[in-house]
Formats: sequence, structure tokens, C-alpha cells
Amino acid sequence: MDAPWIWLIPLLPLAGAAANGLLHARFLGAGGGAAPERRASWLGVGSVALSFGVCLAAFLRLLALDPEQRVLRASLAPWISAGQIDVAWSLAIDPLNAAMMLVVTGVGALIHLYSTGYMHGDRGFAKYFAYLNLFVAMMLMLILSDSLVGLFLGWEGVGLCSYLLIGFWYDDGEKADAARKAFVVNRIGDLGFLIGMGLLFWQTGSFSFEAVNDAARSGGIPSGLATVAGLMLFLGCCGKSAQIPLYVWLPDAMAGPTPVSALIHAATMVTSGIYLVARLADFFTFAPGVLPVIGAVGAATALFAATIGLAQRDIKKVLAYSTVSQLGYMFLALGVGAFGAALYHLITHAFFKALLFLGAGSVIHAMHHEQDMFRMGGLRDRIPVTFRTMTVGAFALAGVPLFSGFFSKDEILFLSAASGGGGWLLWAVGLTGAVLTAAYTGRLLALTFFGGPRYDTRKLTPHESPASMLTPLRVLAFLSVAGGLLGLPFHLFTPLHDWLHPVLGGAEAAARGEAQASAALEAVLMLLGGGAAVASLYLGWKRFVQDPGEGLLDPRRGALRHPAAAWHVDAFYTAFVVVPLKLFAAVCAAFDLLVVDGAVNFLAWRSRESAEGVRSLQSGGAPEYALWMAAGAVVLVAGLVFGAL
Amino acid sequence: MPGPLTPSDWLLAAPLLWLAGGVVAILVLDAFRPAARHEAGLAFLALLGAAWSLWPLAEAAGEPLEGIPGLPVRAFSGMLEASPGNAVVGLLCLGAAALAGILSLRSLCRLESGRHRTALWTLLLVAPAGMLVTLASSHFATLFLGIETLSLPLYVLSALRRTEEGSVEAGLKYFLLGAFASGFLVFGMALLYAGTGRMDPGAVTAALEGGALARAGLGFLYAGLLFKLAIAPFHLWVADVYQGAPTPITALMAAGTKAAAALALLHWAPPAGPLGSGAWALLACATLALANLTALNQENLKRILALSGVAHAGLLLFALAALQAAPGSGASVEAAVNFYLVAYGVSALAAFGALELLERRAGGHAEASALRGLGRRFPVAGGILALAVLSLAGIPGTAGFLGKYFVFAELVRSGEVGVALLGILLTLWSFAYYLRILVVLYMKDAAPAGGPPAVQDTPAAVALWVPAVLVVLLGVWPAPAHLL
Amino acid sequence: MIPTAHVHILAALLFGLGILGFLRQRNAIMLLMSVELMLNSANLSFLAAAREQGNVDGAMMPLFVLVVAAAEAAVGLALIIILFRKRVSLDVDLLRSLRD
Repeated sequence: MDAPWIWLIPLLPLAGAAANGLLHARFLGAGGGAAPERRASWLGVGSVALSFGVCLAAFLRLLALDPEQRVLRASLAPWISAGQIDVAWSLAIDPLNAAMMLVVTGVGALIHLYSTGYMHGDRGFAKYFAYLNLFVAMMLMLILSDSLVGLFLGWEGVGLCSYLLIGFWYDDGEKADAARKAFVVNRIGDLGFLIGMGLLFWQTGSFSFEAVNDAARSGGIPSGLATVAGLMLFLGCCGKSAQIPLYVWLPDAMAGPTPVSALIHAATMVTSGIYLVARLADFFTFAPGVLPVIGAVGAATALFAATIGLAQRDIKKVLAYSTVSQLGYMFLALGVGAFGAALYHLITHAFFKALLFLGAGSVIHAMHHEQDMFRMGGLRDRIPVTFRTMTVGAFALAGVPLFSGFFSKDEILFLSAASGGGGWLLWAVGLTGAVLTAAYTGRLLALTFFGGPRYDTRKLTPHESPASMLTPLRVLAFLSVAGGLLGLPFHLFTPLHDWLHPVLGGAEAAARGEAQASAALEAVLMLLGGGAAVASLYLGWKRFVQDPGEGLLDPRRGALRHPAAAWHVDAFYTAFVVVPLKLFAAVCAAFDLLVVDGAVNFLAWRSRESAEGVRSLQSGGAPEYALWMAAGAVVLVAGLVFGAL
Repeated sequence: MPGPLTPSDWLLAAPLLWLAGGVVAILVLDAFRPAARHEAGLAFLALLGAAWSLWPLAEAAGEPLEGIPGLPVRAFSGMLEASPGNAVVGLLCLGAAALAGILSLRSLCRLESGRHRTALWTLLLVAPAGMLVTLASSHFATLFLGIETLSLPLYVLSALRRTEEGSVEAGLKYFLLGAFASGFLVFGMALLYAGTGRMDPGAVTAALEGGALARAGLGFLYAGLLFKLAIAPFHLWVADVYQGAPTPITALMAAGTKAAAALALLHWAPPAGPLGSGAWALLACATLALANLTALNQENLKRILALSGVAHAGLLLFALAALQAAPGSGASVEAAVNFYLVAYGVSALAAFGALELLERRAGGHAEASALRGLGRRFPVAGGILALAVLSLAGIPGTAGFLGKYFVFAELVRSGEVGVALLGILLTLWSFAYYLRILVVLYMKDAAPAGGPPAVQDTPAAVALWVPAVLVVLLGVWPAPAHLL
Repeated sequence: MIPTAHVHILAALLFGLGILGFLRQRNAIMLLMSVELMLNSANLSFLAAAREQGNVDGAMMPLFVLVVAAAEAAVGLALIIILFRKRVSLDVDLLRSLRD
């Protein structure tokens, strides 16, 4: 049904961004201060909170509709109409993106609130909120658009905001480099996205998701082409959602302010790829060979990133690799056709990973911007609220039974085991990854909060963060536990799946076929997974609470020296991609300078020569101009009369 | 035919009545209360009223108006004919007059006595009235009257700074050559009428099937129209007149006159088929090449922008070439032309308007040496000029890019791929002088401020944002000006 | 009865004369008069054609042309007067300050 007011959802944060942008101009003049900060906070948090309110209203409106009819549409105006291309500014909310938008605006509002405390006193306070609001607006555009073009607009928009926020403290060269790296790596993925989009348009003549899905269902897209288009789109997802081989930007992206890492690089933007695949679930299901690739890449990323997470010193880097790994689980779920499970994990992950990042932010705040866990220790008593909430998040991440992450991760592992064939292999890889996840989570807790202080206690007395930062932590801790209620095992209580069923049910049935598994198998796997997680979490904690294990990371002899260096992937890329590209660029530059520029300069020189000749026409004399006009008229008349024209 | 006016008559007459009413009101009040400064207010009221009365035409897209089946709207027994898309171009003409007025508030208005102000404001209303008649003309009488009604005020306005030699020279040159061109236009009409017995656009079709008399008439008619549109070899006046005229008036000429003349040419263009696209394509390429070459070594920014206008007019002829090559493409070509005119119009308004503000800071000079580095010193005016120049050059993301894109898309669709490629190459060539403007604006060693300090002109600075925003908005969202 | 073709030929001659005059003369008032000649040759053609066609459309145009010509003359003479005041000359060849 028509609901023009849903345009408020992206427009409110957009207005907030504009207002904060103007405020920033005043800020620069006034040099900061409490009053402008308060205004920027109200604008920033208020616009997103209001948007969340409108999302809730839209959700209730959907709830009142018949399950098969749950779509809210709003077309604002035509956008581009040129030849076959006909794109309108229009949004469509169905159960799938309704779930997404609630997460984005809800978690987004909490992180905005947290930021008011975290960014206090920063020169770019209003600018920060302008960027963050713009990000939310673009993310909502991405989610709510009803066509690939609108999604792409949001896709690039969030990429831009991500770039701006990673490099927010651009005075620091390393941070500016990290922003550039994120931008460049994402461009590679975007190229794939554009090619995929172009191929789909070529075949279906439309950019709308409905048309693409319908065409795929009715076999309107040739299978070879569908495979290529699907893989190209997935390349785009690999960039945005940090999967092998394009994940390398995300760990570096931790250079941005920590709330940004929580919002953009954990809870929302990096899940765009998962959303895109789910959005085009029918298309991906019917594109032969694409889903297995997605599943394999996801499982590999999940395990690979978890090994690196085990050997990081920087608390944020641990969480960054953990995010890459968890996104791998979501792609693993998509790969075995468990679209609903992927969305489930996306939502619980948004809760607990945002919580962990914000907690890490609180720790960093308390430690005066120290991020190395080997220089922490014993913070349990110093910052008790942060400790307790982060423990909840860590348990959810590790998959301790009854926490939300346990249910969602377990569902993914079970469904991949149950999909038969290579499914068992995927399950085994996933379970290994889960064990490692629990281990690095235990290590993180042990190094940060337990043992004795490894920092200079005379110089630094860590103290708890302000209430504006602790409230979001408490809310997210609650959600990290309660989120499990979205989908309990054994079909006990599955509100999320029932909610998504009208959108994803068809694709799930088609992708998973009659792969069924007994409740007994589910129970066995669950016990196995839960037990392994608890044991691994305990062992990880135990091992590192006694000895920080700094020697393990020693670059020459340490047992973990390779994962600590992220398996040397960056060095590999530098040697085999960056350096050859730079050489190639140097050759191109030389060619450009000598041959192309030479030709252009020659042309320019010739142009100027002839320009001097032509300029004599502009003699300034009206009689001469009249003569040219008369001559022109004579030529026109003669041409028409004698039929030369 | 005698009888009461029909709704469609009123629809097309209403904007003209607003403008004429404004003229009469200014003149009458001026006669009785010469001391009161009412002219500007009345003129803006009339322009607003005219714009408001144009809305119904723009809105009529798709749904037939009361008593008028379908589109376009024909009025006065077919002497005027306008489609909703033309209404957008009409709004552009009114907007151009309004912007010229706002830019004059702190400059031209303060030149001399009250008489002078009366002339300025009445003529600023008459010129757009002529433009509206011209762009909707579908009869010899309306075409001729429209062109003269738009030209005569511009002759006077060009010479309004009558103490300045350049301004007077521009006005007189424009007048003499314009009158000469009118002679061709009217004689062409007479011959066409003699040869075909018709005075509506059907005469063009009939002439192409008819004898030498009518064909000769067609040649003279196009000579007259191409002068107004400034197509080579009828374009030589443009650089001199644009340079000499006060810059607000130049802006009005660039945006309004060109748009009106282009739509008139489209109305009176030969039907697809018999003539072929070659002649139009040749004229277009010649105009582009000549304008680009001439602009290359210019020192005066106003002249560069004037020649850019000539190049843009040339590019427009590609749309006519597409129309010739592909029968049945009339509606989409018209949409492309309408959008192109609006895109060029807002870019030219932004460019000349910003240039006017910078010129004042440089002591009234528009030479590159005087404007050196002013973009740094005056970021808003400089930024708007830079943005407008990017749009004129056709950088993606601006209205100018989409305007060019739609025209070339029509050309490609009509099968003239070779011509389109040639046109695109010629367009790329023009980057050379557009870049030069940017370089001048942001040069390191700024020119010393010349002349007396300029007055702060808030109305102009605010009004300039409108075309500037439109340049960007239409660049990402062309639909409002393109679909109609 | 004079054949219509003869009138057109006369009109064409007058028009040609007007063009030649415009191109050869240097005096601004003479240029204005040449243009008047061109316009009136068109009027002659219009009237001749109207008589032949037997409709009034063609006879109406000269009225418009005359009105516009009068307005044109008014504007033109005003501009010429300004020029004369500045230059004390009516030679249009002297208008060359705007040029390349």
C-alpha cells in the first residue's frame, strides 16, 4: 500500500546531517564549547531517534497487514528517464528491510547517544554528527530503495561516509591512509557491483528488485549470464562486507573513532552485502553455482579471520577480525540457502558486536586512548559497568548457551550440516572457527579485565565512562541476551523467521530443496557446539589470565607469529598487486607524458595557430558581419532552391 | 475567428497579460508619482504573476485541460501553440528577466534619473513577453511580432550604460544587424506565403514540396532565425554584443533569447525526411568548431562565455539533425531540446550572474588579468562561476552534462553515430577554454583590487544561489524539466 | 492588371537594393533606410500574394511590419543620436572598440 510518509525515515537523518553541517561552520568560528555541543547532540541523536520512531510506526503498519500483502511503497518523483532507463525515487518497505531498518535506526540511535559522550571536547564535534547522520540517511536509502540504482546510491553514500569517518582525524597520516585504503579496496568491489547491475539490466530491462527476482524465478535470465552477474554482485559484497579477498580494509578502518567502528564497521554498513544477497535471494538461488561459492568464501573467511583474531594486541583489531569472521558466518548461511538464519545472525551480531565495540571504546576512554591489551589488565574493578556489559557481549559472541549469539550461530552451523553433501565440510570449518572465536573472546576478557595492571598506575587511574556512554551499553547488553528470543531452536518460537517468511520463504525452499534433518541431529550438534564454545572460552581465559603470552607473538620465534601478522596478506598484496600496478602506472605515465601529451600539445599548438586566423573574422565591424550574414543567407537560399540541401 | 476567448486562449494569454499589465502599471504610476520608487516591486509582481499563470500549462502534462483535448495547447486559432515542456522554458525566460532585474538593483538602477529606471523595468517585462510569444509562435504574425518584441527591448537594454562607449556600441551593433536579419525574416515569410499561400508551420512542409519561390523564402526565413540563435556564419555579433552590454542584460540574452529562438526554430523546423540531417549537422559542426577556435585565445571572460553560448547553440542543431534523420522522434527530441535549453539557461545565468559580481570587485573589468585569483578572494561568487563553467563544459553531475547527453542520445538513436562522435569530440575540445576560466579564477597571485570598493549586493548574492542549486539539482534529478 | 510575378520581381529588386545599400553604406541612418527598403519590399510581396490568393492573411502582415518598422526606427534613431553625441559622426565603421 501507499505510504508517502516513509520518506521521513531517510530524510530526517539527512536533515540532521545538513543542520549539523551548518552548525559545524559556526563551530569553527566559535571554537567549540558546551552550548554548540549540546545543540549538535540534540540534532544528531534526535533526528535518528525520530527516524527510529517512524520506523516503528511503519513496522506496526506492516504488522496490521495480511502477511502476504506486507509492503509499504512511496514514490516521490521520477528520477532518470532516458530511453529504456526509467528510475524513480521510490522506497518499498517489506518485512526483510523492515527488520534491517529497525536495527539500523535503533542501534544507530544508541550509538549516536554514546558518541555524545565519547566525542566530547573534539574540535569536529558537529562535523562528526553531520557525517554520522549522513551515514544513517545513506544506509536507510540503501536498505529501503526498491531498485538497484537507489541501493547503489546508498551503497556509494555509505562508502563515502565510511571514508570520511575512518579518516576523521585526518591530521594523522596513518588514519588518512586507512581511509584511502578502505575507499580503494571498496572501488574494486563496486566495479563488480556495477558490472553485475549492468548485466541484470541488460537481461531484464529493469533495475527493480521485484523485476529481477521475478525474471530469475521464471527463468528469464540465461544461466551462464546469471552466474557471471551473481558472482560480480558478490564481488561487490566482498568489498563492502569485508570477505576474502577484499577484507583487508576493515582491520585498518579501526583508525576511525570507536563508535564509528561500532555503527559502520560492525553493525550496519558491513552487513549491506548480506542484505543485498537476501534482497535478491530468488536471483541468487536460481543463478547456478553462485551460492556454493558464497558459502565457501564465507566459511573460509570465518575460520581465517578467527585465527588472526587470536593473535592481535590491539583490542579493536581483535574485534575487527572478529567482525570479518562473523560476517563470514552470515555468508556461510546465505551459501547454504539459510537466508533467514543469515538475517538472524546479522541482527544478533549487530547487538553484541556494537556492544563489544562500545565497551572497547569505554575501555579506551578509561585508558586515555591506549588500545594495546598488553598494557591493560585488571580493569574489572576500575570500570565495573563496562566489564559486566562487555562480558555479556563476549558470551554472546563466543556462543555461550542461552545468549543470543549461541542461538543464531548454532542455527547456521546446524543448517549447513543439514544441507548435505559439502555441508558437513562447511559445518566442520564453521565449528573450528567457533572454537577459535570463543578462545580469542576469552583471551580478550582475560587480558583486559583480569590479572594485574600492566600499565603505569602512578600516571593513570582508569575511571568509568559517563552515563551517556553507559546507557547504550546496558541497553545493548539486554538486547544481546534477549535477541535470542527472535528464533529459538526446534521451531519452538521463531518470530523472525515467520516475519521474513513471505519474502524469503520461496527462495529458501528452492535453495535447500528437501534437505531435512532430525531434531535429534539438531540437539546433538547444539550440545557439541555449545560445549565446545564454553570449554574453549574457559581455556582461552585460563591460558591468558595467568600469562599474557606476549612471547607467542614474537615475530621471529613466537608460535602465533604468522596470524599476528595477519598471515602476511597485506605484504602479499603489496608485493603482487600494488607494486606491479605502480610499475604499470609508471609506464603509463611515461607513455602519457611522451606520446599522449605530445600529441595533445601538438594539437593545442595547431589550434592556437588556427585560432589566430579565425579571430580575424571578429573584426568588430558591423558591415563585415553583415556581409557574412548576407553570404550565409545566399548559401542557404541557393542550397534550398537548387536542392543541394 | 471572432467570438469569446476559449480556455486555451486564456491559458496562453495570461502570462502576457500579466507582463503587459506590469508595463502599463509602471508607466501610469510613473506619470503621476514620478518620485515613488515602485518600478522594481511592480515588475517583480508582474513576473511572479506571469510565472504563476504559466503553471497550469506545465501541469497540463498528460491530462487534457477543460475543453482542450490533449496536447499541445493551441490558442488564438492556432497562432500560438505550446506544449507543457515549453512552459518550463517559458519559466526559464521569466526567471532570467527576474535575475537580470535583481542583479541590476544595485548597479544599473543607480545609474541615472528616474526615467532611466522606468525604461529598465518596463523593458525587462517586455523582453520576456516577446520570448514567450516567440517560443509558442505557430504563425508568421506571432513569430515576427515575438522576435521583434524580444529584440527591441534588448537593443535598448544593451545600450543602457549610455556613458560607456562599449555599451552604446553593443546596442547599436546589435540593433543594426538585428534589423538586417529581420529584413531577411520578413522577406522570407512573404516569399513563403506567396509560394504556398500558408502562414503556419505547414508552409515549411509545403515549401519543400513546392517551387523555387517558396524554397527561397524558406532560406531567408532560416537566415533570420539562425541570426537570433547565433549559428555560424550569423554569429559574429554575439561576442561583441555580449561583451559590451551590461552583464545582467547579457545573462538575459544568453538564457532567454537563445531559448526562445531555439524553440521557434524547432516549431518551424522541416518535417523529418525530405531535407535530410546533413545540412543541420554541418551547420552544427561548423558553429561548434568556429566558436571553440575563437574562444581559445580570448582574454575577456565575457567573450569566452559568449562564444560558449554560440557553441551551445550549435550543439542544439544536432537535435534538429536527429529529428530529420528519424521520423516520429518529435516528442523525445522536443523533450531533449527543452531540457537542454533549461540546463544551458540556468548554467549561463549562474555564470554571467557570478561574473557580474566578480566584475564589480575588479573595477568593472572582465579581462582575465583583472579577475586573476578572485575565486579565492570571493569563494561564493567564484564557486558559483566555477560550478556554472563545469556545467557548461558538461562535467557529469551537472545539468549541462545531462543536457548534452540527451541531445547526443537522440542523435545516436536516429542512427547518426558518426555525427554524434564528431560532435562529442568537438565538445571535448571546448574544455580547453573552460579550464582556462577555472585556472584564472584560482590563480595563486591574485590581481590587486581595482576601482572603487564595490557595494555589498545581498539580493544578487542570494538570488544567484537559485540557478546554482538548479545546476546541481537538474544534474542529478533531470525529471522535472525533462519528462514534461 | 499587372501579373503577380512582376510585382515579386520588383520586390526582389528592392530587397536586393536594400541589402546592397546595407552592405555598401557607412552612414548609420542610411543603413536604417536600407532596412526599411528590405521590409517594404516584403510588404509589397505580401500584398501581391494576398491579392492573388484572395485571402486577407497576407494583407494583414504589412500592418504588423509597418508598426514594427516604426518602433524599430524610433529605437534606432535614439541609439544613433547617442552615438552622434559621443562621436560627432554617423560612420558605423568607427564602431570597432569591441573586437578581437
